[in-house]
Amino acid sequence: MKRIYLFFSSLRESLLADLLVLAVLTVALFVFMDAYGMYRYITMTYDLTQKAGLHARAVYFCPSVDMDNMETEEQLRAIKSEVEALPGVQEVLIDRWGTAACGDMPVKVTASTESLRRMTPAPDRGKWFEEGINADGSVNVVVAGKQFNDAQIGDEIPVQIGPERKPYTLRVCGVLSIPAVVPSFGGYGSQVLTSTFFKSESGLLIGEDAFDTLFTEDIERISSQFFIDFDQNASQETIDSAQEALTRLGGYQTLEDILRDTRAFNATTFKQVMVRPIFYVVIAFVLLVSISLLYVFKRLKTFSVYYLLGYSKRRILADMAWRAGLIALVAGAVNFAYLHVYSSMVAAGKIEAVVGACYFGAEADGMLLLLVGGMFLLTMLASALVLRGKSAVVFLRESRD
Amino acid sequence: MHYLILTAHRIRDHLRNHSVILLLYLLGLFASILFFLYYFGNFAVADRFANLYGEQLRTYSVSFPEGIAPDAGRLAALGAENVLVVYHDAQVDPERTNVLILEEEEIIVTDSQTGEETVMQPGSQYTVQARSDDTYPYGAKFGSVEFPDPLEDNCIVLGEISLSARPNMDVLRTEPNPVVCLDGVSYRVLGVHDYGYESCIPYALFAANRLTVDRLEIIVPALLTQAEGDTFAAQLQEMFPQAQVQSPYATYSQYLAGEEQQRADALRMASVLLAIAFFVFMFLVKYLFDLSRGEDVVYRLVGASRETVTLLCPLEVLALTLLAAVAASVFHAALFDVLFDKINVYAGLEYRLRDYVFVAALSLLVSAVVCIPFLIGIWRNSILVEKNKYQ
Repeated sequence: MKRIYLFFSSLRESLLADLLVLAVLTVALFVFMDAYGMYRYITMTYDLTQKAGLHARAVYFCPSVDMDNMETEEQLRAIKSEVEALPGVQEVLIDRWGTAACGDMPVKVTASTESLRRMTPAPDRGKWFEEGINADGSVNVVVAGKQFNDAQIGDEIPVQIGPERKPYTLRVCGVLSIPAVVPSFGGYGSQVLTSTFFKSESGLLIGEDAFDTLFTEDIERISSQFFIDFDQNASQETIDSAQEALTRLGGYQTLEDILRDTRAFNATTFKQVMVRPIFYVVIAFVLLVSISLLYVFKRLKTFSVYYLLGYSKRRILADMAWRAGLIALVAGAVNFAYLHVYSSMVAAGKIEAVVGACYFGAEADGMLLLLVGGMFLLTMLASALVLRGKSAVVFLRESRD
Repeated sequence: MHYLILTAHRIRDHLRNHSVILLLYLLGLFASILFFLYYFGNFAVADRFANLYGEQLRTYSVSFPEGIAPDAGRLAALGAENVLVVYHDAQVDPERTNVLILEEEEIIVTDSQTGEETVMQPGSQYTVQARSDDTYPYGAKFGSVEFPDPLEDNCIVLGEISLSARPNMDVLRTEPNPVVCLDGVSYRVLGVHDYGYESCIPYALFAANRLTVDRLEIIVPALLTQAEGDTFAAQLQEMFPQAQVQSPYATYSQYLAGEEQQRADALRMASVLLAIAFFVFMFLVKYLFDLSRGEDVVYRLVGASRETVTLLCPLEVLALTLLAAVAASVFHAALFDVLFDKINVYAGLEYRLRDYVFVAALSLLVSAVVCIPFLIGIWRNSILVEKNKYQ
């Protein structure tokens, strides 16, 4: 009790400076973590694409179809079949989807193949399905995005599919929280980046077998672009001839070119997004160390009295650790809370206008812990260095009042 | 002069007895000013326009009502130092063209800036461009977008966007010999590019086929200032009296005004951030001020006025700020190539001496402002109370 009283009475002595440091540190960490989330949101698609384990000469292919034509879908299917038949082609990764009625709301239902699941982040809650359809006929589903952010594992989602509105029951086995980045293969342009393949959207992801059961070809849609992966054992000549054939069907870019362009883009993004927040954190850190050491110098006389009354230097250091630790802890806790309520707040539409699209995975928690812990430890190290080798007499001599 | 001697003495005294606090204060100012230099260069200086807008701010446009011959000596003179982009509005021959969807009705196009309306005849006009360096920033939407070297025949890369005629993708996939016929000359279609530009032909073909230049763009190698740009535009007008010359500064005046506003906002924002950082680091200096109170009492007792004693404190702050600003500027300039140029958001940023001087001056101003609240206590000090305290 006495130590708690002493601790709070010492806090009162430098309240204004401490509050300012707390405010600066909290804001600096917030800006840093928000920027980190934004940076990861932009760059995570690079990691996801690499995780897919595609052949280095795999290509992102844009079929040459007239998008204004009523028969675009048929043309796309015909080209897909033609591409699948090319020598050396192992797999065509394509976004197959359909629309289901979920209550009054239309919702996108996507066929998630094993390759596509490798390109999708692991569910934040639950896990990917092993079987598309359960023994009782229900369909396993991983729900994604804002519309399903509050779904629980085991929830049942009734949907109706097709013109005759056939009813099905989907059972939630995993939840992909906001931003719910999933492969969609919708974009194309002069510079294709890995982000071109993905979209952040609400939807239901079901197994390919379940999708084939639920959706007939006439109500199924496919993406306007797709990825073509080659057999790892295919010869260079086979791949060359397949790529040559592709130029007769549209335009393409190779995965290695896309990854190279994305790396350059990510490096620029890092500079645009992260450098300023890093400066903020460095200044906040210097401030924390400065004010903590100032506290040491201001209280040298008090410490010398404690010392004479039998306190060990370790206990004096522990007193200081409480103070610096409390500031770091509060700043860290506020930001930790932000990381963990971000999805719910965005889902509730409360902070979208204030902060950008972010991705906070487990690594964001680790980064925050590293920053806060590192700052605290270095502050304590600096304080210990100042106190090192000082006897009670030296304390007294150096104390100013 | 004696103010400076006293200030130097006080700083020397702090350095001898309280070096940790003094060095921490200097480190704090150093880090803050370094950040300010980075922020200032990347978000509040004019040089980045060139990077932001790339070629657009270097492109001067000339429209010819009657068109001119591609081999006009004036073009050759302009092309010696600049990149030229020439445009020609060609007539499509539908009978000899097998890969274009031609509009059947006339289209009225309204210029977004002038509001002027142009009637495009149904499926008859097709614009082609050629660039003197034959370098285009596009990817392939279909087929190949590389011109063969050396040129063997008339070839063309179609653009996706055209007003009255667009590529027919279905036919392109199946037609073994895709051809477009422009002004009676047939061009073999190499592919379709994915950029919002017109169709492109090699520059050498443009001249060889004697296509008239209906519009010309001159891309100068380095960004001109607005005054230089106006002079260059006037020279172009003199060179082509019948033509309509457009300077990029006129075209992008609204964007540039917005940029000016953003730069001013960025500078204000950076100044506020600097002030906040300086203010919090002032707690360290306040500690040093407090340590000097005994000395202040002596000054007062030997006849120094309250103003004189109070003035010593901001002088001390300004001297330390100047020291930190010089150190940060030297550090920034010394490590510019190896570190700061690499973390700059915009490539090719240059810092001039005047930028460093401006940042140092602003830092001094901010320091002077934020130390005012800390001087109030010193100003209010009673000589009697202080004398008794330190007696």
